[in-house]
Amino acid sequence: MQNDRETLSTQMDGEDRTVDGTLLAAIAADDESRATWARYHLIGDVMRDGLIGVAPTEFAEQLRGEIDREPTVMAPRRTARPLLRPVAGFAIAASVAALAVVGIKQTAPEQQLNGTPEIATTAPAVTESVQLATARPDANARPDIEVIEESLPAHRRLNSYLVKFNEQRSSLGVPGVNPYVRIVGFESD
Amino acid sequence: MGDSYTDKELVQRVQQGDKQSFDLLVLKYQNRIIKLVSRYVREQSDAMDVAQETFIKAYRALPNFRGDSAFYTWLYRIAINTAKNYLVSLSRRPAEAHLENADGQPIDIEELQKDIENPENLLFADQVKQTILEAMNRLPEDLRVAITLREVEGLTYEEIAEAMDCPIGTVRSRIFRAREAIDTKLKPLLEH
Repeated sequence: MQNDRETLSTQMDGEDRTVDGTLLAAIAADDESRATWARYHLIGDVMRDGLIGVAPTEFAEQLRGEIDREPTVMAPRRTARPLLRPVAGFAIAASVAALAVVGIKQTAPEQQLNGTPEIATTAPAVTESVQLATARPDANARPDIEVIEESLPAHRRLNSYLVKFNEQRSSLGVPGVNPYVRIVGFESD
Repeated sequence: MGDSYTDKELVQRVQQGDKQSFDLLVLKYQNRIIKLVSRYVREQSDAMDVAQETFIKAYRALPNFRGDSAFYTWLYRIAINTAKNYLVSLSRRPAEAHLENADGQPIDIEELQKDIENPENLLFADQVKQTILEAMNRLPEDLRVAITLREVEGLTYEEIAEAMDCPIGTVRSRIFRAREAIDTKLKPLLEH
């Protein structure tokens, strides 16, 4: 029994990644484990947020009844892989860059033939920037996918920070929340 | 925080049709959502209704939750929108603008909402808070530090082990023992 509760304690902290979701299902299916889960979280809420309100025991029970009456939700299987979008974006950017290079190469001789001084002076700057753009992938430039993956934890931290800030506003002496004030959020997309 | 891993697992289970796993998410976040909603909706029973509606909306929308943000961030936004919608619907109720008390005097709805906070519930919440904080203060120092680093600072077990210079298994055990010691005092209060 104590081992079960210790496992529950570790599980609720997300520190036991060796077990699959079946342990969580077992906790959800057992009344005593559910109650322990709720009390352990209540302890954390009080320590962290100095809780001012406690959910009545019937709150979760009533909600369970409501959810039971709801049709079972099933998430549709995703057809597109999450990595496909950044890869597609990179491919489009590369295509545009390639088209720009081809276009400039085709127009450059005509510009020289025309011999207008304005174009002659701007041409080196354009080719220089194109060279820089095309040289990036060859120079071990980091692909967009890596940049996006690395920034996800930062996005999550920022989100978490904004949520905590809004939660703590009232305890910081800001009386209540004005309903007309927009809540700031941060989305990765 | 590491518990987002647990949230992900639970969300996935719900998305696969396991309703019971949603119950664990409710039990985990109910206090925070009620606290959040109560800042908008002052009347206790209405706050409970809005909190309940928040969870039902979340359950219905879970198939579309992709996990780009943390589950609580997502739930938090649903709660804010639900509370705001409630306030808008309140301002659209024409009958309430003409409420009168027993003496025939008009009733100010906003003042009414401020006054209706349930004193019994506030007292109970205060008892719960005091019980937990007192139990925590009586803990041996190593247990108190471990659970504080976890719950207040949000450190992982590995970070706590480094900070306290002990194995992760010891951290796991200390946090559990701390929770058990506090729970021994808390459980009788909640069962009354």
